[in-house]
Amino acid sequence: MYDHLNHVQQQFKQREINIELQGFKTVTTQPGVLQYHIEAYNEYLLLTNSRVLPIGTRILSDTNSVEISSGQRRTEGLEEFSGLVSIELPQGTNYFPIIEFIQIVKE
Amino acid sequence: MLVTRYSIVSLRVQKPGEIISFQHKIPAYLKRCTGFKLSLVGALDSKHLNTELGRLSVSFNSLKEEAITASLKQEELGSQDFQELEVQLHPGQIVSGVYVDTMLGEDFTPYKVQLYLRCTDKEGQTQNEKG
Repeated sequence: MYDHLNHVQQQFKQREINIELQGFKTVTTQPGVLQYHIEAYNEYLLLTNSRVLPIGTRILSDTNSVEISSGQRRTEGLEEFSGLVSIELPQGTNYFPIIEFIQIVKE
Repeated sequence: MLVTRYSIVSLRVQKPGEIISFQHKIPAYLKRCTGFKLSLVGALDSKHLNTELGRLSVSFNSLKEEAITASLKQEELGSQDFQELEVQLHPGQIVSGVYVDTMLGEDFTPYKVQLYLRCTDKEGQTQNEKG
């Protein structure tokens, strides 16, 4: 059974990154606002609920960027972002989800 | 004898705003990457000379080292030589990265970006050797 938290712990150990704090961060989106910015300097944000995001949502950061497609809306789509993270919902969407991340603060 | 090899990662951008992820392996006998260069293949309209075409970020050693974050400008690419890089390579590990096109205009034409990595088979100096 795929376990997000277990996967994160294992992968960061493989990458020799020590974790100072593991937590959660959410971004609540709302009608009328399509762009959101979060600061994730010296930390990592791992997207856990890509499958509920509207297709065409773009998440751009200093280290990784994705555009949500049907192929990305799967449980294993645990994309990682760091630095300044920008979230852009697609024009014309009428669905405004809560976007959930696992937050990893490194040593 | 010092051996220098160049790896090329080609990224074909076919639509505005496209996000391209890539993975690449550098031959295991190469120990260190010392430089990188970006080049543009295909002619873009001259009005894009001063604008940012896209952004690239690259990590080495299977996500252990985030070593390149670069912005692409057509004007700067032509005259640019290799930029300095100092990455000790772990044998057989993955170089991975993502390119994001930031040219969001309606007059988009497809283009190709080449990332050249200059790597050698010589180990770098350790902190003690330097000191």
